[in-house]
Amino acid sequence: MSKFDPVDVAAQLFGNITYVDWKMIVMWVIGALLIWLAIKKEMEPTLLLPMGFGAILVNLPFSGAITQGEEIGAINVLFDAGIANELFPLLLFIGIGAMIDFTPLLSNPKMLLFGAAAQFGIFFTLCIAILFGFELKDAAAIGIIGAADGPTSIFVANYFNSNYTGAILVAAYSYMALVPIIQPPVIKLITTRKERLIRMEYNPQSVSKITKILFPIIITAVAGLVAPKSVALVGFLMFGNLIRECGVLNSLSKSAQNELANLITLMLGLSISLKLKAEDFIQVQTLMIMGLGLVAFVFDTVGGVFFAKFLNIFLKKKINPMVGAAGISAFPMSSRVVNKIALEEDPQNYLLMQAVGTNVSGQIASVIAGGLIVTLVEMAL
Amino acid sequence: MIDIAAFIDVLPMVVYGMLGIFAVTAVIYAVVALLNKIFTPDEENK
Repeated sequence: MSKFDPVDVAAQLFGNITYVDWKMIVMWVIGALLIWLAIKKEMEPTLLLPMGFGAILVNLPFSGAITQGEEIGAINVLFDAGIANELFPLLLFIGIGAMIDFTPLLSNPKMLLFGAAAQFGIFFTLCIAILFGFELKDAAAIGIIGAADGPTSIFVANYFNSNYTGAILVAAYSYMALVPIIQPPVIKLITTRKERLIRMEYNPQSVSKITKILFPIIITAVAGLVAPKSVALVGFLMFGNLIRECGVLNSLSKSAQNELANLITLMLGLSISLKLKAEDFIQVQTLMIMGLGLVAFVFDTVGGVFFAKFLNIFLKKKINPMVGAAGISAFPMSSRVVNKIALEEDPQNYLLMQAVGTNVSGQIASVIAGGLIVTLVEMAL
Repeated sequence: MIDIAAFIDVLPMVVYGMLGIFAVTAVIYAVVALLNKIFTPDEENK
């Protein structure tokens, strides 16, 4: 007589289906939506696709990809190895640093100030999140969506061990991809046509190689001295940039920009999906976080634009206030958005290079903001 | 649900945060301006 009773075998194979609940199905739909946005709309595909797939993977009943009782799951191993200790976002910063050319910023360093102003949304959103009853550590992690910088969001959310890491990252990456949709109406609402028509001369000062090499080293030292909590983020970003600019590590630079960044992004997307488990993700707070993320991006834009308007009170050569909006870190979308609006108003008004300078300054400022928010919140707790 | 007292408590963080970012940025601005002054591409070519 066979050991295998067909009924038992069928029950063993398909019994799992009875453990599927509506929350899991909602997460499958969300996973499918993320994959669709990645493939069809090309919205941050390198991260949204693995996150979407991971959302399905971890929300299957008794999924072997995550820890079940004594059995350790691969996603948990990846999470502990690279996210719990903040390693993956930092390694990703080496790749990002190697990709960024800071020359537009170095040739016109006053653009740095716009990058600083456009971090306003982070702190504003933190306050609004507190108003809506979030704990300070969660509010800080929600506010950092306004950094418009995925690795910084991961770093801060994980540093505070936020209960809403999954929702925060979905919001951060989604809104980064939606910058071309979010920013134009905000910019048009808070600027006059006359302001949008302001032309800015672009006379780039040539930058020496020594300056390009010293820049990442000095920035790391300054950030480390002034905001020590930010030094890991700034340091890894600047190390990547040093590899790029030193001129003798071209193959390493290319590896950092391509293989390293791609591999880390792949693992990051999958391991983050651990935070997309139905019981953690499906809650009212997730919807609130999506709303607050939008607030952060809007007020980043407002901060940058109004700072430019403020400076214009004192300047003879006026700045086009739209350039301030490019101070959010979403690179290079934000600078392209500003240039596009300028060209819509006046086909001869090219603001791309000025906006790029502001945009890369936003990269630095957002990382510093990440370190500052960690420092301030720790002081307050 | 709306916690106005906590909101008011945390408002100074906006000021300190923005001041902090501008302070660090101002230092970086000064450093970059100094580097550009000291190391010009012309000098490098000499």
